[in-house]
Amino acid sequence: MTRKKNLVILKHQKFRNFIKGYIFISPTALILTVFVFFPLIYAFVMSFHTWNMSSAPIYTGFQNYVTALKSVDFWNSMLYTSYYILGVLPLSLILGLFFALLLRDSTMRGTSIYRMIYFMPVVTSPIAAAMGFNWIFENQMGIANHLIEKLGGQPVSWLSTPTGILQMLFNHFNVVLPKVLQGPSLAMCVIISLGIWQNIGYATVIYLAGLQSISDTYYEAASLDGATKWKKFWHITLPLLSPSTFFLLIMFTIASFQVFGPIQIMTPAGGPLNTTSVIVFYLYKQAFSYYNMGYAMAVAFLLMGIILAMTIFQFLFLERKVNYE
Amino acid sequence: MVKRNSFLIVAVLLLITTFAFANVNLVFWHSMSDYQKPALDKLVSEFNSTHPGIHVVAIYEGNYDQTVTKLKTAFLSKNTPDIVQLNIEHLRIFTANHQLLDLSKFLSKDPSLKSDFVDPFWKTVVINGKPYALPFNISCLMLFYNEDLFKKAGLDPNKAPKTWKEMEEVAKKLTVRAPNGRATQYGLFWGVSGEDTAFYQFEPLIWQNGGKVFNSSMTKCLVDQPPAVETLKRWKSWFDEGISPANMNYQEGIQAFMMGKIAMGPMTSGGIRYALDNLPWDLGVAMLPSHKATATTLGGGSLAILSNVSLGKQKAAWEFIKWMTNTKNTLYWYENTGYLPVRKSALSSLQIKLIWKKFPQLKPAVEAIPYARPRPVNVDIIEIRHTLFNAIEEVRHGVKNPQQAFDDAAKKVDEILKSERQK
Repeated sequence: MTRKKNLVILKHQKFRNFIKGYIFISPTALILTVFVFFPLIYAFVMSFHTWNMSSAPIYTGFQNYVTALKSVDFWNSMLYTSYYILGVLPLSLILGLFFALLLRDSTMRGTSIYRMIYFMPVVTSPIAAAMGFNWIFENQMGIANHLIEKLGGQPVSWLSTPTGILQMLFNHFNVVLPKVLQGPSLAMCVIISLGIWQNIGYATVIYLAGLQSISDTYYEAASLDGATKWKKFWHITLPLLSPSTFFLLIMFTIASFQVFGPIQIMTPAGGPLNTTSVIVFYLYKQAFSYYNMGYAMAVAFLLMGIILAMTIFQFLFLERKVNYE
Repeated sequence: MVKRNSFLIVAVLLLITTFAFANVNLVFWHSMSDYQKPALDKLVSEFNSTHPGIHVVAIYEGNYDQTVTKLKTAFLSKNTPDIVQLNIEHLRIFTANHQLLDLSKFLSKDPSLKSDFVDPFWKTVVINGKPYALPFNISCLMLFYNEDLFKKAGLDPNKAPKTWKEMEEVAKKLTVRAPNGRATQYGLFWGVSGEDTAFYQFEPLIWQNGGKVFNSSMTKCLVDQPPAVETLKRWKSWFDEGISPANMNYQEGIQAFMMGKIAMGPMTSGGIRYALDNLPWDLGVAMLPSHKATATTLGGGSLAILSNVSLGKQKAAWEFIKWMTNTKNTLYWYENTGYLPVRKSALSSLQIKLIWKKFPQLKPAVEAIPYARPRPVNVDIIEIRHTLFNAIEEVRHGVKNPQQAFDDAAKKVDEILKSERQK
């Protein structure tokens, strides 16, 4: 009798704990459902429809996906996105590491001020930063062209030259490269430089943390063996920083795929010949300028698939090279 | 008892009066930014002070295209304004789904009103025989030129080029080159904006060459036909000959024009007053040069009431849009912005002559009205215009030749038109 009663109490308690848990997570769950999961599922369903936001949606099956994969504009914007990523990633990492090494010694005078200076671009709103860069690279009144002219050069149309920079080099030899090899347009390069400028601070902070966790014993041992500074960097610092590098690589890749703000501000029409029209800009235009909502959502899911594939690839093949202490 | 009755009567009266004079609050979305906004705000506040019982709140919602996006989302979230300023070429996007109020019922009570609107302007707000808005800020494309640069080049600043040929000759004289051959001043920039007015500046060139952008039933794009392709070739030659800057986008072109580095260019009459107030040099305004035909394009916006507005509010909203476009206010708007007066009574008024005396540059825009054509409209007009804009940019940057670019663009636009009909 008592056993049965105990069992009931136990069950009751279990149930109460069960409920309690759900009550605790409910606020977050509710917010996530309303603002993340519902729109996500809704967008997924809509990606199989033709919908202009005003008329009723029409079910069209996989047509949006097929149209996107067949569309030249879609693949062009993927190409421009790749340019952006390939431009931003390596330089952000290298310069980030460079500044981290410079700022490593916390006994140096003014270290904290320099750390703050390098981190400033990270906390600057991308919109404000883009407006600043716009002002620098403006054709008529920009400071970049002003300096060039003062030095006797010809002003450059930074934001309205569609020619790829590699093609520009080959123009001297009268060689026309295939489109993929022409490289990012000058306008895109300006936007890439903004991306790098904003990323450096973040990379610096992550690398600084990584450097601090490397034990001095490794360096001492290496010194006893007569290793040079460069060898120490190459064989100790770099491998032991690889977890930080890996983390930054994944974060920057995902963020670079989704770059939008600076492009919307600096080249609101998508740049000269659409050469700054990266994938998110393309899908934004399709959704909120042309009202091809279903199509834009299909593009968004394709983008999600690509980012997912990239991240899985990075985990599968690059993580092996990461040295965890 | 009597006391109590009188109290009741007073209470009832109070109730009635509060209902009768209850404030009708109207939300008015518009796209008038920087220099036009103060003039618009002044009109709205004057309306509010002269119309007790109605209170209009004017809210800036970004440019015309952005207003379309916001209005579309507002309909989805059922949080729409009452009155909205829509670009005349965007009206159809909303009438296609019956989201704008048919104004026939108000106009039938006011028979003289309709006939007082300038005819070509009125046509822009009538869709399938029904008026859905009142023309408010209508502009036409004009040739702006720098009189100071004309004088410097030994040209008569009162004689703007009348034909394409004249324009090219004048532009050559106005192009100044440094000893190393680099141009420091360009004669002409027929820039085409890539954003919300994509293709606005190019359309009249095709018309002037005797061509059309679409067939009359809007089922086929005609830019692959000879008149349009020839126009594109001619336009490209202005860049090739060096009288126009090849690597400058529209915004940069405007800036160069304001700084006196470009002598001529097409611009909307809605900016005349701003230019007069802000340019450090003398501005000349003239009709666009003609070629085979004389033509300019009508642009600008109209005031529409949304169809989901309650009956009581509809009347107040109608009162507002009628007031905004009345003779006195349309003249005020014309004088302070350069947008054309929308009423015939305003065009023939005495005040307009006074305005011309003060700002003679405002007059040519009115004289251009007989040659102004409304722009073709379609539900997917924004995507279509961007497609056409991309085609001419490809030609400007030498990626495609004119025939090829417009062939491809016409094909793309035909597809958009076709899929729109299927919806």
